[in-house]
Amino acid sequence: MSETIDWNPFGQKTIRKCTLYSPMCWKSNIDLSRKLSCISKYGGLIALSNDESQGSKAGNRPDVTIYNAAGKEISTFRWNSGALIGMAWTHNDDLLCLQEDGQVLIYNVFGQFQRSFTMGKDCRDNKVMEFEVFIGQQGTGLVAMSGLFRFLLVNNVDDPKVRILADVPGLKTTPPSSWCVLPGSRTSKVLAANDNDVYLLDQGGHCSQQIPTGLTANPSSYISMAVSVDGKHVALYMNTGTIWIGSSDFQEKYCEFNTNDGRRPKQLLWCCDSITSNTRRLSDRDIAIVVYWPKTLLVVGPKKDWVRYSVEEDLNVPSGMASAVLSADMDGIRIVTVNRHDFLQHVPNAVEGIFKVGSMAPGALLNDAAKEYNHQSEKADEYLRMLLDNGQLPEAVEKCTLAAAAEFQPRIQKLLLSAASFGKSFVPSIKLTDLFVNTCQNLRILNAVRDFNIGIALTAAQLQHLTINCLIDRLVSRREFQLAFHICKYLKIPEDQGSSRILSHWACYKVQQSNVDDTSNARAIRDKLQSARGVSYADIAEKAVESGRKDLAIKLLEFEPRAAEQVRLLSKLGKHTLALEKAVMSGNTDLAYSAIARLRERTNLSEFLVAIRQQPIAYKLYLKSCREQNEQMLKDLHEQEDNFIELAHCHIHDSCSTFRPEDRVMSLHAALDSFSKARDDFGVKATEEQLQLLRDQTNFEQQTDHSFAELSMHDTIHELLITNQLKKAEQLRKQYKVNDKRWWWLRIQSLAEIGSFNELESFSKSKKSPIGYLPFIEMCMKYNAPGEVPKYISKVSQEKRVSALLKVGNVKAAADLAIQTRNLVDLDMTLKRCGVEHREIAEQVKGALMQLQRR
Amino acid sequence: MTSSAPHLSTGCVNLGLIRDDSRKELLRLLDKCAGTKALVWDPELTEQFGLIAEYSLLKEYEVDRMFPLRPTRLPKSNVQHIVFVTRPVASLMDQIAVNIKKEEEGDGFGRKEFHVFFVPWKSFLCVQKLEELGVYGALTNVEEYKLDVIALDSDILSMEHHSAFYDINIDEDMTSLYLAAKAIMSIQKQFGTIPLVYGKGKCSKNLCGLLRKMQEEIGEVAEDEQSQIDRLIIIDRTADLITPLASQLTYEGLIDEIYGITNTTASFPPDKFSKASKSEDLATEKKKVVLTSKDELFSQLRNCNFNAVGPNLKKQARTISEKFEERHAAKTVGEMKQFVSHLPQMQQAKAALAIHTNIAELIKEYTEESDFLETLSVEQEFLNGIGTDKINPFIEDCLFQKRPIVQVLRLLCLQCITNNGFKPKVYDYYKREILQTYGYKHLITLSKLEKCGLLRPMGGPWNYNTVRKSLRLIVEDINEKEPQDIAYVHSGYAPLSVRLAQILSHPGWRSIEEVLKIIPGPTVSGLQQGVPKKKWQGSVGSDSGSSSSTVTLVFYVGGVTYSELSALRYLSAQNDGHEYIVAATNVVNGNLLLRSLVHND
Repeated sequence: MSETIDWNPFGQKTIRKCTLYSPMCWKSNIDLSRKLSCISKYGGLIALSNDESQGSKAGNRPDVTIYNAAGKEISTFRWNSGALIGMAWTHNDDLLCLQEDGQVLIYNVFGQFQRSFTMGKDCRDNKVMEFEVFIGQQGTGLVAMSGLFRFLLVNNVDDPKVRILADVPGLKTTPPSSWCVLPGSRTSKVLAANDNDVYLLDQGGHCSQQIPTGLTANPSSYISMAVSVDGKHVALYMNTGTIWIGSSDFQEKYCEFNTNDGRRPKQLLWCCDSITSNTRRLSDRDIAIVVYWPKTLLVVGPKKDWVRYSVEEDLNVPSGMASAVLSADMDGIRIVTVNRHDFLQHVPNAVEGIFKVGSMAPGALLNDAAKEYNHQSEKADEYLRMLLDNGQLPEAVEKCTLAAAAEFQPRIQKLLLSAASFGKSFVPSIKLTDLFVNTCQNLRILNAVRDFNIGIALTAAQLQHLTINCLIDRLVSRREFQLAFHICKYLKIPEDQGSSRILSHWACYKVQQSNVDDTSNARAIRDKLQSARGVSYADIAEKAVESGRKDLAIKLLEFEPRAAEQVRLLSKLGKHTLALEKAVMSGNTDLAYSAIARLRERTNLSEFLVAIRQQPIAYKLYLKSCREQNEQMLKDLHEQEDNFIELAHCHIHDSCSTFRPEDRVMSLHAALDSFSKARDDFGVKATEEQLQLLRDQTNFEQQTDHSFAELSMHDTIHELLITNQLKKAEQLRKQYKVNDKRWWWLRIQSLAEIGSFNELESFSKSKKSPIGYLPFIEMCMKYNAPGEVPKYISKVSQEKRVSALLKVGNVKAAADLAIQTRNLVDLDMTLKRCGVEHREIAEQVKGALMQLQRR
Repeated sequence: MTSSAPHLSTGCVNLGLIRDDSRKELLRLLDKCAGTKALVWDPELTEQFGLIAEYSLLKEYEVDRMFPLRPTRLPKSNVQHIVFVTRPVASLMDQIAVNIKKEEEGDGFGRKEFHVFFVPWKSFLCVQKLEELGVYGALTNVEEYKLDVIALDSDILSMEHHSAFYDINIDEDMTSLYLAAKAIMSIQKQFGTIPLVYGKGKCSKNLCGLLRKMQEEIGEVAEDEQSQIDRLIIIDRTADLITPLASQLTYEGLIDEIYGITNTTASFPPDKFSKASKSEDLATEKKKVVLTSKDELFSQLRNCNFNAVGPNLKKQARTISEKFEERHAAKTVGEMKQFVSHLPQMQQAKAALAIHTNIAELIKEYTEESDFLETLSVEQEFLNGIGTDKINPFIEDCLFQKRPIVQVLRLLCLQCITNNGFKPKVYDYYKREILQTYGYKHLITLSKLEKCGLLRPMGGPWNYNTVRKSLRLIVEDINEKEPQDIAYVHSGYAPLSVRLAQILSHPGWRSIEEVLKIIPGPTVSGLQQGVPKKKWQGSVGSDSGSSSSTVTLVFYVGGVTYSELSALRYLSAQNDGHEYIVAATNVVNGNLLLRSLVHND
């Protein structure tokens, strides 16, 4: 059966070496043995560089080339710093390069320098001998061993703090015989062997000797050691060729295995499923230690089961040199040779149950049933019945689905999925349906990214562990925008987290391409992004600024709907006038004020004024703030704008707010001047009169002791009248052509106010009143002289007499008169005033009203 | 968090949700200052906050003390936090600075943390000012409390932004408009994007533009979301300046005109109430009455024309005394028990009745004064719009007696608008007499009135008589007790703005296109911004078959009057498939409007 062609029995378990890519895209004369190399976890990015540590002089500049998992070149760059001693991938697919002097340089997959840090003085002075990169809880960590055989540890290369570990006891002139990093959940440690002593060095500066439990061999030295990816298992390779395999705390020995080969292995690493096997018993655990010598690969399980693979001979490689590069991933081992990229792993349980020879597991039965069904054989029914009778069908469907997920070949995936689908039609279960649908989705995505052009060789388990979002991020960072975009659409990820985000990244990348001109670049971006929601043009513009493309940034900002962002960036770009314009357009006054303030800070006054005058709304805002804080500026602005009316108002305002008469006069003259410039005749006249009035008031003040400050014309006359200065009042009356009616009102009111009722009476007789005689009555009432009222009643005109009577409170007389004159309004008014006290009168009035209305 | 304002939730759209949101936001901010705190209030805000959160709630959040913001040292207190709650007004920043500096000088009780909460928005200028004053660094938190709108009742939201009219029309500062747009956005966030937008007046179009921009900024909303509000009408106050000038004659309107209602509360002279209230010694303090639909009797009375209030109160009195009489009819223990169970409710009703009877009496006194009656009759003359372009003798009388300037200007402006501006001679006469009476500085007042369109010389497209006739603004034979038309709110004059809303509902603005052209400001008709209700997608115009009615939000930029509110409530109550809720920058009346424009130092 072709499904099991790459399987090898491995004790109770099975192990398989699947081919991910063969042949590789790279040239077949590539020489892996001479190169520094590294392979990334979760996807298998490969970086290669000419190995300069041996032989060639520093200053020789090697090329570093980055390939995808299928060997397709992504980028290449010339190494032009110090002596490169090694490379490794970080957990987010950045390439970490370590120099002999302890300088660490980080590049992205496109070979673009990102950042750098140093491992410290010890490394600089004594050089780095060896190093190891590990992935711990806090991110990607790095341990370097300096020339003094001292270990320097960085927990997280994104936040590099170098810690010096304790020295290994007894090391003087020879390096440790072997060492490795023990990644821990909180702090990572280093295991180091000095011949046959193993020490654990922690970050607290402690060093403790570790004694492998139940060691029967008697080595003189541990020449290699390895810790599993999850930090749980350890393997110690002895110069006797024996491997001690056990737990990483040295408390449990799984087995001791003798290889009979005392050579130091090229690589020693663990192949284990660190994603799913956490809870299983030891005997069930999918763990194995892999020993690699040129040409040979030995896989040893915890029960001394073993498999030997021969690694294909590479004609380019001198014999005795390694022709393969191995790298431990989360659930297996990647093996890259010149012709292929293989993946060594324990066969997943679901797959094993189905394809194992003679398996009667539910999954196998369902697979057979589906096969028979396709052959139109009645056996299909038989198998199905077996499953149904035992109630194993749901399990079978689940197993087939999971097995499909774990396969690399679409042909087998399809086979298993159709078996699952066949079985599923007999079990209505939402859970299974969801699993099935998810698996199909994931497989589509996995197959898409495994394509050699993309070359991200993920297993289903890795994808699950990595998460889809992370995969999308990786696609984005590899500029596979289109695929990322389609995946987002396919999975219906909300636009702002999905397709719009991808488009933004695309646009950010696009703006960095300097070969396209700004206008068409901006347009291209706009065209693509127009329909996308939640795209931040400001972010894209910011990227454009970073790559020195100011004009493009400004063009892009045109499309940014969030005014605050737009204005912030435009100001940052020094485009204060444009920022002001946008701030004003947003309607957000506060934004406008801040833009005004920035414009004011950055330009000289005249430029500022020119700029702000072009923005009427901003100009108004500026006027308002001047009105509150800077009145002189306000006047200057009005003056410059020929806004004389407003200017006049400023002066009027000034004249009101000062107490010194001279200042007041000065302000008024200024106002007068402004009004005449504005050709406002009314204003001119009013101001002239006010000036005259001020003069008159000053005169009066000098002649009498009274203060006339702040008084209007009306009040001035009133003041004169109640202080018995009729003559002066008369003078004003003439001078200002005071309205006759006003004069009468003023006289009546003043006389009543000072209680000169006799004079009031004679005044009433002096001339015919232009305002009638009701005011006389009202004022008498107001100033408590009801006795004076009758003198005027008869003088009041017919139509106002009723209301006069009512004002005095003579309801009876008013009612009589109203009834007599049959005046509807008067009757109504009287009725309202009757109230409860005058019920009889009210009845009479009502009667009269009814009569009138009847007509 | 239980809402203690159930009356807000009784309308066609649950405005209680707006209040709940504001409460949550406030508590979230208070949580930022863990520990005991003292709130220092911008006095303008205290009453507003009463509508959001009661003191007991604040206490739960460790608010131990409350002080008004003054430019002097704060009273001593041993709280951990001092929180200034303030509007973004520059002059208040000075006071805050003084407070903080004084507090930091004094020994006090250990160190305190200072915070500033800006309501409703954090202004750049104020932050700058705090920096200049050297206290910005002393502040732990400078937050923005986005109190966009406050639900005053179940059908009215107010931004309580009282300077909106002035800022927009005099300073041409459009901040209020931006805040209004934000307020509408929060309403939409709560109730869905309103599918259709209409508008009339100067700012209506700008506001629509701002709304669209904000919509773009947040991106589109989910498409299947359906709005609870079907239409938005934006009315700029300058499109209808007549209504606020005319005296309000509804119960609520009169209370506002005479005593002023702020944040749903009015204060009355105490002597009327002293008999009713048992504690005599409190009689010197003003009697505060909360006027919302929580008060059942008030919700019956508020929209009545005042002439209908008396009979209504009488009826109410009768009902109550009848209910009390029932105790004589109660024979069995069961009946007695039932009677007793109603007792607290009846007593409450009785107390409310007493309060409103007193208020009604106060108003009656006012409305029977000749001054009021004469003013009213002059107003009616102007509104009837026939032969009033000459100098009005009553206005003259008022001028020559130096009556309050606001009273004079209110009539003058009404005369001006109803006559399409003054003839030059008349205009100059009035202006001169005003300056002579009230002083030269009112040249500025006059110019402000001109600037916002309240006073002007003759000319321009506006023609009151055309508008009056085509919109039927004057309705003869108004039945004030059982009204047949919204005109009852002004005893014969129908508020122009409400008429516009009414016509939009039926038969639509297309029927009055010509009139809309002569009303000042641009018209926005039927701007699509969201997804219409499903029923609209079927046959447009046929309301048959759908039981739920069309809900219209009327947004007043520059203030809404109580008479307009009553008129809109009247329309909602007609059960013809149209309901209205109101939102506004503030609630206003003619006196408030004019007072803000009168120049004083």
